[in-house]
Amino acid sequence: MTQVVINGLLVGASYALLAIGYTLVFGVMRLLTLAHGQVFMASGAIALIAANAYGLPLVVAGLLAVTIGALLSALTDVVSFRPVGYSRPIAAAVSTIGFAIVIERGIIAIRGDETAVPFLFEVNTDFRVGSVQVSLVEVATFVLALVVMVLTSRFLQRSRWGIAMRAFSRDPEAVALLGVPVRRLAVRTLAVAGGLAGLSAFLWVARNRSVAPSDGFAVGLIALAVMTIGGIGSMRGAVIAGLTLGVVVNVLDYQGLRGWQAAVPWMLLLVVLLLRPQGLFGEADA
Amino acid sequence: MANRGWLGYAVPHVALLGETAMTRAKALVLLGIIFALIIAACDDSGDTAQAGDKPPIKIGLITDLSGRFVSFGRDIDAATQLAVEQINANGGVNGSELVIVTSDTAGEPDQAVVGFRTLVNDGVVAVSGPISSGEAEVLFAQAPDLMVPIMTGTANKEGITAVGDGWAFRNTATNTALYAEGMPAWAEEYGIRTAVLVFDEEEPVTAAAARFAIPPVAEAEGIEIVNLDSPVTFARGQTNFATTVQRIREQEADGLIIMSGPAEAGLLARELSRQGEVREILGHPAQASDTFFAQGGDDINHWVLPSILDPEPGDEATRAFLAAMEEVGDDEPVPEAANYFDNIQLFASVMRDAGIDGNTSLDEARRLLREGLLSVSGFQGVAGTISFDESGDAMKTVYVNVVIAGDLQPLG
Repeated sequence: MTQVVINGLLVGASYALLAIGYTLVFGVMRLLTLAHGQVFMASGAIALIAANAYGLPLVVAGLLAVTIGALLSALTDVVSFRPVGYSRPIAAAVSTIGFAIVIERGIIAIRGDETAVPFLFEVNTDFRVGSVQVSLVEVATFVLALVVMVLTSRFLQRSRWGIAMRAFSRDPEAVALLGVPVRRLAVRTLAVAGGLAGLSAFLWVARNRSVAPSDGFAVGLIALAVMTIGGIGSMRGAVIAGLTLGVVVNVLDYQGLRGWQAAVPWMLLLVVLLLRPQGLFGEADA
Repeated sequence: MANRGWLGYAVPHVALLGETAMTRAKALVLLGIIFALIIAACDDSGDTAQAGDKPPIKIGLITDLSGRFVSFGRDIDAATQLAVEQINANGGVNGSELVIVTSDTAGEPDQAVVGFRTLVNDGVVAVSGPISSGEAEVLFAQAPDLMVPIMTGTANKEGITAVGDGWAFRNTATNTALYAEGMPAWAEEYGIRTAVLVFDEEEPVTAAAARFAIPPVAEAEGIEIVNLDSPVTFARGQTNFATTVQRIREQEADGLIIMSGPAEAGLLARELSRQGEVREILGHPAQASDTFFAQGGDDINHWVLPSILDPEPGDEATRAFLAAMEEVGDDEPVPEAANYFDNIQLFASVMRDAGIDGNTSLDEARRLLREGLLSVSGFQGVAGTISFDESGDAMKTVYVNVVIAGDLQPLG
């Protein structure tokens, strides 16, 4: 059972990394980008396609995934948020669905079909701690999720841009009147979230050895539940909810209750929202 | 007088030839064409009709040009086009060219239904396809109402032709036939007496084999499935198999029987290898595609896959087919592509014998083709000899192959 829990924590770290991006965008901009899962998928897929085609080194593929994630996410502002307006959250969220579909179809067009892009690097980073087997990639994902949580929280609390982001989330109009470049702020927030999605995608493909166009929807949906359970805008909530969900889903699989895996994140979400509408670590007015 | 150009500007008229000379030249060319047509129409010196003399005969192809089995679909499409090219190059069918009308289902039964009806309305004489048993079950039930012969070359599930009332045919082996050969050969080669059953419960193609074919065949062969009451299952599209493999490793048995699509099988093989699992594996023919080889890498070595195609064929026609397919694609085709090549050749052969051409009424052509197919016996295709039993299932030879260094080779 120890191995099952460890596997769950390591899978959950991927959900957490992606959910941090979701919660960063929503926490700062009060806008929901439903294309975040597809940004995750596309950054991993394009990096792999390029690496497989041109024989790129592993590190370059990783950097490419982060860059593509940041660029695609920043593009969300150009194609979805800005045309609709930052003060129309529902229309903006719906617009990101359109962007998500365009990204997914674009990857299918580049790939030529809907099959998964294989990870062709032969890397073996496995090691054992007692009876538990883990890979370096999994440990890196886990550690990164924690580091990113801490750094992002500190960045929001202490840096000039972080303070501007938090102020923007409270009163965008006042921030704009004070001369803060709101558009640049929005693009930077999205780019940081996208970069994290790209990093998460790269670690995902390194562990799971492939990424399929449909993964964007599947993983993105779980990360959305993770964000809501953890509390919208809470980095700590995203990490704790992600890790918890990872463990729960893995234990169900191990117990032969795999059929419940898809439903459990949403059942947990319903229970949490019934007891605590702002999520586990969200603010009451979020 | 000046002409008006398309923007309304005046364009000067330049006569390169005199008006009269031009008219005479055109008249001479026209007379020449008419004369040639008259000569051609009166020429009855040869008996052999040339393809294109009569209206074409349309054949439908229902396949997956998108979706999860796209690597199968592309090879099947290429094999079908290859058969049509060869048939048309040799005069077509009684003077009519064959034309393929393709419908992409993405492996979805609802899309297959729409595609089948569209093809029938488009005037196809018969349909080759679909790929999966889930699609075939639905389409075969409709074939008697639509009165169109339909023939799959890939769907392995037992009993799917029974609803076809003589209009539905299967030019491949059933799951039971595949494993009646494959399982004892695998067991004998590796000394297997007990096995763990693992399957993708959301993939109808292979879940049917796991549920309905593997248990009775194993029982008949004296192989115990140790987890028959609680098989290890996973989901279509799953990418992380850490816990799945953990469950597998906790089962004590000699070998593993893994029924899934190609991508999941490749990734599962990677995880099995990662966790140090070395037991021998019996897989499913649906795994034998480029996707499986790309995802699985070296970790799919020694997977045993039953097949309807001899990987080292002695037959010249089969070797020529494989060579032609490799020219069309980058790699070896999926074995079942040979069945689809044979489907078209079989349709053409029966239509030739029945005197069907492009002028035959559709209803008559479909009826004659059905009758001809029902009486087919000993047709020599590139994937072996084809004879149908009373339910429309071909009795195929099954070969048992093993993956060695990314290639399929005969087991043993």
